[in-house]
Amino acid sequence: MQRLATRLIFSRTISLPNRTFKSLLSTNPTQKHFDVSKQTLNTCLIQKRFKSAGNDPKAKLKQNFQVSWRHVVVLFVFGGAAVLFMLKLKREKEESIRRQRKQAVGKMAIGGPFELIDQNGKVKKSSDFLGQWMLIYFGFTHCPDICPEEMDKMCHAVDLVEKVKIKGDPVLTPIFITVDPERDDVKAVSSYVKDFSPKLIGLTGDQKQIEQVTKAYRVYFSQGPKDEDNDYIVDHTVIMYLVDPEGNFVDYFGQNKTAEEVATAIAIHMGSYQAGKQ
Amino acid sequence: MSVDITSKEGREKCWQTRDVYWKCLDMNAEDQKKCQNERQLFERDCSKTWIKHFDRRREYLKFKNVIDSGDKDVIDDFLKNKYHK
Repeated sequence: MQRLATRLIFSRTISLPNRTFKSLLSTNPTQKHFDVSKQTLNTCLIQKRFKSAGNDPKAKLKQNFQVSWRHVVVLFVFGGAAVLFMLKLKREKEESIRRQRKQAVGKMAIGGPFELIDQNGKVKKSSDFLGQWMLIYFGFTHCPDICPEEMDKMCHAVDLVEKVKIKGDPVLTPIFITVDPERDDVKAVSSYVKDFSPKLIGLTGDQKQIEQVTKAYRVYFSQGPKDEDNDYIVDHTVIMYLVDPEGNFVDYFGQNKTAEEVATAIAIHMGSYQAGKQ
Repeated sequence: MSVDITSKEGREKCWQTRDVYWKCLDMNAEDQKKCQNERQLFERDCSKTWIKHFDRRREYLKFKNVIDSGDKDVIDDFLKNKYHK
C-alpha cells in the first residue's frame, strides 16, 4: 500500500515536464519571431526535447518553474496523503516495538509472588499489593552505610512522586525486604523502618521465604564471616525494583541514580500505565 | 556503644565520629598516631564490624580518588607506595 502511494507520486512528478511543455513553448521569447507552422513546431519540439534532455540548462530551469496551479494542488493532495499515511505507518511500527519491548522485559521474569511477614507481625502476600505500585529495596538493619542511604533515597523519591501523582491513580508503596532473616525479626524490622518513613513497609520471613523472594527478584546476598561479637555484614545486590499495580516488574534503579532521577522515571511509568488503560 | 547501632540515632552518631576521624587523617597525611583521640571516639560509637567496614571503605575511597584523578604520576606514586614498600 505504501509502495503504491510512492509510485503514484513518482509518476506524477515525472509526467509534469511533458505536460508543461506546450505552455513553456508559448512563453519562450526565442520562439517569438517564428511562424508557428506545424512543421516548425515539430522541429522545435524535437529541439526542445533534445534541450530538455539536459543540454540547455536555461531551458531546463524554466521548465522546472513552469508548473501550473493544478499541478501544485495535485502534488499537495497526493503528497499530503502520502505523508499522513507514512506517519500512520510510523506510529504503528513504534507501537509494535513498544509492545515487543514490554514482552521482552516480561520474559526476563523478574519478580513474582511472595509471602512474608510485615513489621506488625501480619502475613503479607504479593497479592495484597495488587492495585498499587511497589518500590522494593532489599537490605538488612545492621547495614553500615549503603542501605540507609538507599532507603532514604527511596523514601525521598516516593515523596517526590506523591507530589506529581494524579489523585485517584494507584499509590506508590516503598517496601524494605530483609536479606538477614537471622537477626531481622519483626521487632528489628519494625523499629528500623520507623526511622525512614511512615509509608515504608518492612518485610521479613524465615530463611526459606527470604530465599524464595530474593530468587524471584534475582537478588544476590551472602552473609559475611561472624566476628567475636557474632556480628556480621551481609553482602547483597543494591537495586530498587518498580512493580506495577498488576504485579509486573517494570523497571529497576541502581545505586548511581539520584532520588530525582528515580522519581522522574517512576512518574513516566505511571503516566504511560494510566494512558495504556484508557 | 551506648545506643543501638541500627537506630537512626546510633547510625548517625557513628557516621559523625567516623567523619571526624577521617578528616583528621586527611589533615595529617594518614598518620594514625596523630588521630588517636578521634579513633577512640570512632571505636566507641561504631560496632566492630562497622569499623572494619569503614576502614576498608576508606582505603577503597582513597584508591578511587587516585584512579579518578587520571594523573599517571599520582597513580604510579600511589601504587609504588602501596605495593613496593
